[in-house]
Amino acid sequence: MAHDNSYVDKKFNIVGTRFNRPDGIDKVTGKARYGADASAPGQLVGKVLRSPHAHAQILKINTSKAEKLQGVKSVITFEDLPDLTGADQGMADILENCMARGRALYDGHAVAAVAAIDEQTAAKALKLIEVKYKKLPHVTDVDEAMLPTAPVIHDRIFTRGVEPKPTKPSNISSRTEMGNGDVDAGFAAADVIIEHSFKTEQTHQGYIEPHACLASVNPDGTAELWVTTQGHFVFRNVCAGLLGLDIAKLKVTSSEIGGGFGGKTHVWVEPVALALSRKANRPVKMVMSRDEVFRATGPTSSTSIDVKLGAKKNGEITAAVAELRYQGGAFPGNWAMLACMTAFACYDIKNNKSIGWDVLVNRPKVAAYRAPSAPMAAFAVESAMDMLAKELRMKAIDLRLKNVAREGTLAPYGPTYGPIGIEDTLKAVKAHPHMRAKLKPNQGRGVACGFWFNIGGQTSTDLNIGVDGTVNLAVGTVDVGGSRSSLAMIAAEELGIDYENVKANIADTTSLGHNDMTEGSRGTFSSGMATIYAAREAIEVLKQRAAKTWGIPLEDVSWEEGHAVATGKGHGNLPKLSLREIAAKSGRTGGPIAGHNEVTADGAGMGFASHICDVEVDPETGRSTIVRYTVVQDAGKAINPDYVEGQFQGGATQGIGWALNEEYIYGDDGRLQNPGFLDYRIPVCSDLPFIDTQILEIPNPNHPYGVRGVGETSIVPPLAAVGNAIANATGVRMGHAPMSPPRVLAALDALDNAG
Amino acid sequence: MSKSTLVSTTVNGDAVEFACPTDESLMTALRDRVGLTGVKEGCGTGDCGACSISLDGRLVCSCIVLGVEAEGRTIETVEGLSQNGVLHPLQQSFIDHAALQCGICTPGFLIAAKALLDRNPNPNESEIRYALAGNLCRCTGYDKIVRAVQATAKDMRKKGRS
Amino acid sequence: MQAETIAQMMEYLAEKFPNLRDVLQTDVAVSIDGQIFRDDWTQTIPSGAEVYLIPRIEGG
Repeated sequence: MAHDNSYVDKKFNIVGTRFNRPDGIDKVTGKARYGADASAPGQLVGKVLRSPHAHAQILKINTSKAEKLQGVKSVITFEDLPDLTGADQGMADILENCMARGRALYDGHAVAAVAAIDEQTAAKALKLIEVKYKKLPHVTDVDEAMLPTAPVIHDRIFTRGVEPKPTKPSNISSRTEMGNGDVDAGFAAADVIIEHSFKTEQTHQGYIEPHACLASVNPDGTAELWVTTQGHFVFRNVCAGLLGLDIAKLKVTSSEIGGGFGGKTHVWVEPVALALSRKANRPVKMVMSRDEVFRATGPTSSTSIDVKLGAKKNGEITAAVAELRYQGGAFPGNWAMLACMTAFACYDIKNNKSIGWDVLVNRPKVAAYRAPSAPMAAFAVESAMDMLAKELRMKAIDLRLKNVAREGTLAPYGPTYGPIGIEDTLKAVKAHPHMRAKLKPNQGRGVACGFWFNIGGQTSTDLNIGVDGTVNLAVGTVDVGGSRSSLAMIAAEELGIDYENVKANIADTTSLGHNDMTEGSRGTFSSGMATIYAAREAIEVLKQRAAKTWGIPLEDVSWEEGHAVATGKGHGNLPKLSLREIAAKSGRTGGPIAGHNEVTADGAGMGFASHICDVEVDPETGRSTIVRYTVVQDAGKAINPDYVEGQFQGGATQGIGWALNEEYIYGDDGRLQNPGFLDYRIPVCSDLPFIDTQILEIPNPNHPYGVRGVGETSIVPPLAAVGNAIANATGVRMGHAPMSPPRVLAALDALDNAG
Repeated sequence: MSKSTLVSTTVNGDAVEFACPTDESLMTALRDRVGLTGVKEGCGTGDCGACSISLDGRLVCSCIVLGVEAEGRTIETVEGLSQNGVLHPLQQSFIDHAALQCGICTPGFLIAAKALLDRNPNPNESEIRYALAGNLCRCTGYDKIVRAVQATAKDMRKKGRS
Repeated sequence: MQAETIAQMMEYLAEKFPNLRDVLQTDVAVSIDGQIFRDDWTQTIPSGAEVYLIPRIEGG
């Protein structure tokens, strides 16, 4: 049955209201089971031996003593993970990242692993593995890695996107350029030009639940994996590929997930656990320590960015250029390319150019972190916008409104925008009472805007109606933030029944077709779309059953508010049939009633947001305290406003942490110095005020309810919103994030000495 | 494998015995020996509060208490908050206020919030925020958590409950 | 170039620029009149549409 994804304006009964989430009780009672909460009979404890060097040749690994230790059931190295990846370099990189193949590429890189009967034995076994390393020169800074003198990490990397093609390998995997118009002419026409350089340090998604899984491989090639993940179907495909298993024979069940934010879209311990289990012929449970999570999973890029803006006296920006250098860790990535797409995306600037450099360093392989690459680019561009506004003696918000992108504006990466919400969010910010609140001494206010794409992706959904009229909804998108509630609401809305009669579950990989990850703000958007279509299919079946029951043609049956209604001539005396009544008879009218849908949900909208931040800077310590924060974001259509607000507040808080305190600190030895929550300081409850939110709804024309993804955008504006607030509070422009107390204090001191 | 010590405690009102090595944390003992997986490990070093329990009425991070230290003492975990299937007001309030997203930090927050309301039934916003500063949440930004605790405190005072 | 679907367009480009074949297979999304298609290559391209090849975005 073909489905139309066009937006239809309609009045909703359930969608848009606030319902309690179905998984709430399990989570508040401790019953909900996360990655580390499963056990299997005879299970072993798996542990990983990790490189203490940033870059080293692995000359020899001697596992014999570990293998002989009483209680050790398997020991593996890369030799137990043969390379089956063929010509797929991307998969080969994943394999090598999970277990070093002759060379340790970063502090914490996995070198070997053991499975033993308990924690203590496994820890002892690790100590008995003898590894002979030859240390190699290392580089951890993105700018240093680009120098011709830098140690080259992979000699197969020749920079793509550069003419003529380089003859020598380097750490620069690619150069990207995109833009429109003629920036030289644009700058020539400018009355005012602003140029500034920015640096952002590496941060981690910081989910409170470490990676964990329980793997069980049988001698006949079947296997099971219980795992905390943002996408169990993708994990299945990747693990099956790396281990040479058939996809249908590897059953992956997603546990509840204790936070992901992009950091659980890749495998690290999972293939290792499967390999250990295969060798030991017993289930293997692996739980990462917090130290391992920081050192050896997928943090985000650290960056170095130059921005140049030119404008006429009236505020019209005539040219904009950004050069963005992003490190992707020890393997090639596309992070700088992504940054190029987002840098100027909020604005209509006829002459713009973004150049991105993707660089390798001896750090963990970078993974996506909520609107990947956008927060750093926005820090640079939105800070520069405020600097430009100051030069032009314009209000920061007015400069943005003068140059804002609208429907019909050419995006920096090529296509023309459909209906988008950036202007509405800026206008809403301008009108917001927060903008008129009085500021106290040492306080300043900053605004910033940001955007993120939303993606659609492959989705498969099942809707089954029980004989008592209650409904099971099986979806394949992992619930990271409450989407089961929204999806149940959508099903109830379509079917015309009560929310309480729909139970949404996340199915395992044997029960549904492929579902892409919950990332790209796609969970509610895509599974919501599939739920609508599955419900509409079920309604067709319900109508058919009613038609059969009444003995009238199907065309004479319509579905209204949860009932089959006989329309047309002569049927007036037929009483309506409720969903429950039809379901009760289903065994006699043709069997169980269901609806199903596979869809690649394309046409995802874009999420735009504008934030307002008030900060108080202590001139003695350089410490910045957020005293007030407001998020205004376009959600297209908020299915459950409680959970939309939650996404706004959570993303803003991560951005605030990134702006003020969070950073990876590497020593001269290339080792991570702060792999723990004590010294990697994320925001705590006492750091923050209440975070005000305003949900705008500019419908996405490519979704039946107008839904836009909301999960990611709100991490994008905070870095600059905070930076702009600090500039307004102190007169100091901070170009290096995080804007931690020592950095701010140093800048204040420099200002004092200069003035 | 090092020898285990037998430990006798009261957990959520029931007499419980478990055996654990002397270097094992109470968090691991509760999770793996007693089966109470509602106690979560977020960091293992006392920095995140996900493993929060009440030990003889005192809020502690169970990951930095030894299992053997629980000998003869009383332990309360999230599993003991509801009584006979009736949720504690804090648990209901967290659901009603959407004060959880992924939920991994929720057990720890509930124990910490209960510890606060047990000693201070009328906390102001600042007191709530500082009392909960030992519990990390990465999903919510704490906004709805604080509102849920405020609402519960107000309700409990109204009903004369403590 | 004559192409009625994304699949036909990709095949044409892969033949004309053989060293792009792998990139087209995995790293590219298509924008048709501003709407982005990441996955479904059976999508038809209306006559005269504005078509862009853009990086295939994931997300976090």
